[in-house]
Amino acid sequence: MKRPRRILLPLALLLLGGAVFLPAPAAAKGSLSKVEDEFEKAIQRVTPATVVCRPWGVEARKIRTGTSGVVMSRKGLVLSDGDVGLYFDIPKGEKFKTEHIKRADLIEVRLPNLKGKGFRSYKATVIKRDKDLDTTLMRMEKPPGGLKYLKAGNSDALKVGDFAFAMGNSFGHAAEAPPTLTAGVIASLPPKGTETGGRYRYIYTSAAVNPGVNGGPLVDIHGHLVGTISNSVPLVGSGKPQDAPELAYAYMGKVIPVERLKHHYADLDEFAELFPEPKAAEPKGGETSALATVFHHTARKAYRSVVSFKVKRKGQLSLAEPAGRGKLVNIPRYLGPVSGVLVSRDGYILTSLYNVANTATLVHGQRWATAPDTVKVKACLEGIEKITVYMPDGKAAPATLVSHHQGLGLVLLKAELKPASAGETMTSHETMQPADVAEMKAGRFVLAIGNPFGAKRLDDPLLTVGLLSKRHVTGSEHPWASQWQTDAGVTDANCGGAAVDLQGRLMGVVTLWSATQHGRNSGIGFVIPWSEIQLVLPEMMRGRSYKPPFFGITWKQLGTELTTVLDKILEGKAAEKAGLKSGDEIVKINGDAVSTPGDVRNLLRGTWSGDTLLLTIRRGGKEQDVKITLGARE
Amino acid sequence: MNGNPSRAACFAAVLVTAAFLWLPADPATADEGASKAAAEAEAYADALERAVGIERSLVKAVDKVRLNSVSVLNLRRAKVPGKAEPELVRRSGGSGVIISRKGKLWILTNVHVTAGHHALQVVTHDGVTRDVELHDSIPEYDIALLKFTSKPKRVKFRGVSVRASNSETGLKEGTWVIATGNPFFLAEDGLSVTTLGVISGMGRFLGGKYQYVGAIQHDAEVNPGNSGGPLWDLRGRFLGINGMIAMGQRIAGVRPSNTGAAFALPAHQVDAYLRQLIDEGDAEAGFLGVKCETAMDRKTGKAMGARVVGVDARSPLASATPRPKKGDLITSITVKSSSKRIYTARDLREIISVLAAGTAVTVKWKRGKRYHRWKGKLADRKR
Repeated sequence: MKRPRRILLPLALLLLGGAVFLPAPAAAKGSLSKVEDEFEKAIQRVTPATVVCRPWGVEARKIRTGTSGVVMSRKGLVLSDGDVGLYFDIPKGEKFKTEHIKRADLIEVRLPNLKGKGFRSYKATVIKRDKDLDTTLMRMEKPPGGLKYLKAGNSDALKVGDFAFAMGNSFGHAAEAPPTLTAGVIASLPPKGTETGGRYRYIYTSAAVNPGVNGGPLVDIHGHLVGTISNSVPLVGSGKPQDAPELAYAYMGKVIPVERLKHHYADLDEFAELFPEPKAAEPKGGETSALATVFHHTARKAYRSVVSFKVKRKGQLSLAEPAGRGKLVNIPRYLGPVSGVLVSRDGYILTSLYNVANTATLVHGQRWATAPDTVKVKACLEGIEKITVYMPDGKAAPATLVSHHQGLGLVLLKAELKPASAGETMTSHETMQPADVAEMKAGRFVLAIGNPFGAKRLDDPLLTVGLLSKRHVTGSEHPWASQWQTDAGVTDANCGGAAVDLQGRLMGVVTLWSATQHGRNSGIGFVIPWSEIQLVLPEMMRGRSYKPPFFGITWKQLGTELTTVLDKILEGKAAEKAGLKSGDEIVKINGDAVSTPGDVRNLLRGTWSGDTLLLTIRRGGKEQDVKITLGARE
Repeated sequence: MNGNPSRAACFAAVLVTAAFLWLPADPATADEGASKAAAEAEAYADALERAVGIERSLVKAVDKVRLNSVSVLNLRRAKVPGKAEPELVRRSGGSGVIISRKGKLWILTNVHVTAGHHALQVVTHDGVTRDVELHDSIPEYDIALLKFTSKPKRVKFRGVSVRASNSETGLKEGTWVIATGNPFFLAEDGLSVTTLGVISGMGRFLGGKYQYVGAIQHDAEVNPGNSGGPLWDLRGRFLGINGMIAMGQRIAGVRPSNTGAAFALPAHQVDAYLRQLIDEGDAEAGFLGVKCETAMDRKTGKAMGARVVGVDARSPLASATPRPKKGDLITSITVKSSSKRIYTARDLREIISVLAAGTAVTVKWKRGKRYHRWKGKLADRKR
């Protein structure tokens, strides 16, 4: 890892001192309440200005969820989604046709009654509907006195890591009630586009965005509008290069920035009413601003060691599912760009096995007992034609596959980089310091840093923030034993990226839990901890791959219990080669006594296929020693 | 050279500016730069310290709430290969929370977690699997109460107290919440999985087999297996029981499980149910048996009340004169001499949801311009 720079060391000591000598839990508790208070202030501003928009006078059954909207002026200007007023007028007995999709221009704007219960509806007429931008501007015909509205903030001033709140009629639950709130951070700020007058085209947030929230507001910590919500980016699973830009933001909330709206509506008569000049300067944030600053700074710092890479295969692969149901899994020819972590200054890059083999070792809960599918992994890895890595300095470099680890679900790549100067072996790239394992308790922040941008590297990474949900214990039989679970959103885009703590120290490599069903956006993400990685990294750097070690035998059952007596000896496998026979009882492995297959498994942990073990066996009442070279389960 | 003097002056000025810009930074500016950098570093150190303080409180809160969170295992008798007799096999499961009430420890979970069980077990945070049994349940509202078959020994958990005030006061959109539970059996060793979120909305309604009336909606990640698990605030107060999530649509054959929309039965309802189940013993959920929708005044756009859509044959209101019928407007309900105005169908559902069968109520409704009243007792759906 990186040698700490001299300037950083005193700073780190200073911070460490601060951390150690800051006891007062009462003060800390206070800071959490302050965070909540700041959240509340923002939310108090946005709640009364968030409305539900439905076509006026259309039966409820013809409307799916209705969209959301945001009141922008006291005189009743409302911004909503481009699809506002959409309903489905399917005559009885007829099948759905596209002409049944109707769009009303008279809109029912529902204001929740926040004091009592219920709501009030107002008629609104469409002023301007923009399908391309996905917004509609409307005016309420008779707005009530004292109508609450939202002030526009500045989306150009946003930073990755800033808190953001989405509000709206999620799943239609707010049709008769106050709107639904979700909180998250600004996950990514794509480059500013020329067609939008130098503004962001979209901004992406990790706040959950669901059907019905479209058209609703996204506000910053001050409760100012920073954008209107377009939709949630679906996962585009084709793997074609042209789909890559959206793949980077799969499952993120897509938001139309307010600066882009200002640009778009500049010629409109209503412009001054819609976006009045702000009177006061932006207030300075308190605790939340401290958190957001740290998120931003730490993410940027970690991003200097997070790379992006693309994989090209010799062709598309079709493989049978590991569970053996005969279902074929197609692995596309082009994968990526996806994320990886630079772990040494001469170009070693770690990433999730999922990124190159399309299979994660942490499989679905119901199927965890299935052995890691060595055949599939092998086929995937052998099919790789070319790997291209995009380094933090923006340069592309070819890379080769060095080794993989099926136990932890890791792949090690080596990028062919030019050294910093002649006569050196190291490049000028940076790597991260590892986090202290003992300190990593459940409840700590996890920042997942992804770089799915390929050649078009952005200034900031794709960032999601969550908690360390659980440290799974070492020694259980689950494939996720000793891995760390997090609720920071993990998608295809940041899988393989870095998980860092608040101080920017590397916790481990981010990975999806399951490639198929519940892995994405389930709030169940995993971190392959650095503490486990560092044990295997030297071997991996030597080009040695880890496959689950295998004897090639079955255990004999006595009553209900399995014994360490060998039952079947599989042909051509390790046990047969070592001369073991059915009926032999294993009593010791490398001198350690074993009495159950569980003991054997525990002793095999940490051994690699290809390792040689000394078995003490009992054959015909006599103990004898046998040397066995472990095979791999295939 | 007969050049324009003003232009020459201008040129000189540019030259001077340029020269000034090209000047190597003098020591004073360098110092300024250094002090600015130092100030920035100090500001950042301050921000980091505050962020670490927040994180530390989070870790504390998580430590605290995990103690009373359990994983629930639903065992069923099934044929096991190689065995003559069927054995108890773990078929499904969920989460639960240990509560203390009337000097005893109980476990709260969802009815749908215990559905179809032959035996039940919980795994507590210390990793010990303990036998439990179903004490009682209110299936309508998805609340099941379990008890330990034998008194648990040497335990660190003391059970949380369910206080109505936890969810009735102070909870707002934006309040931070922690969900603990056993998603996808990832906490079958008893150490629960913790997720963080904020409250998204209050008083949500989900119909169906299990009714969630007045539920707390939040965006902490909740998945299959989290059912029955508790929702907490950062002070470690019990806010409710997670039971449902809104499922998104399938996209490219993949159904996202968590959508950031989870629903929890609030503590005040749980408290009401516990009063029925433990304090009073063996209570059934009250049943009014009218199906309603919200009526809106076409002119003012105001919600006016709950319009009757249908009346169940078993409804106690069926005996009222005149018998309520489709189109009538329920405007208020009186329970224990406190009258509540009904604006929406949701208001009515919320009030009924916490009342036990046999509770005396007065329902007021409007037909045309006349108001009618009915005084009576809530029924038991099963009878």
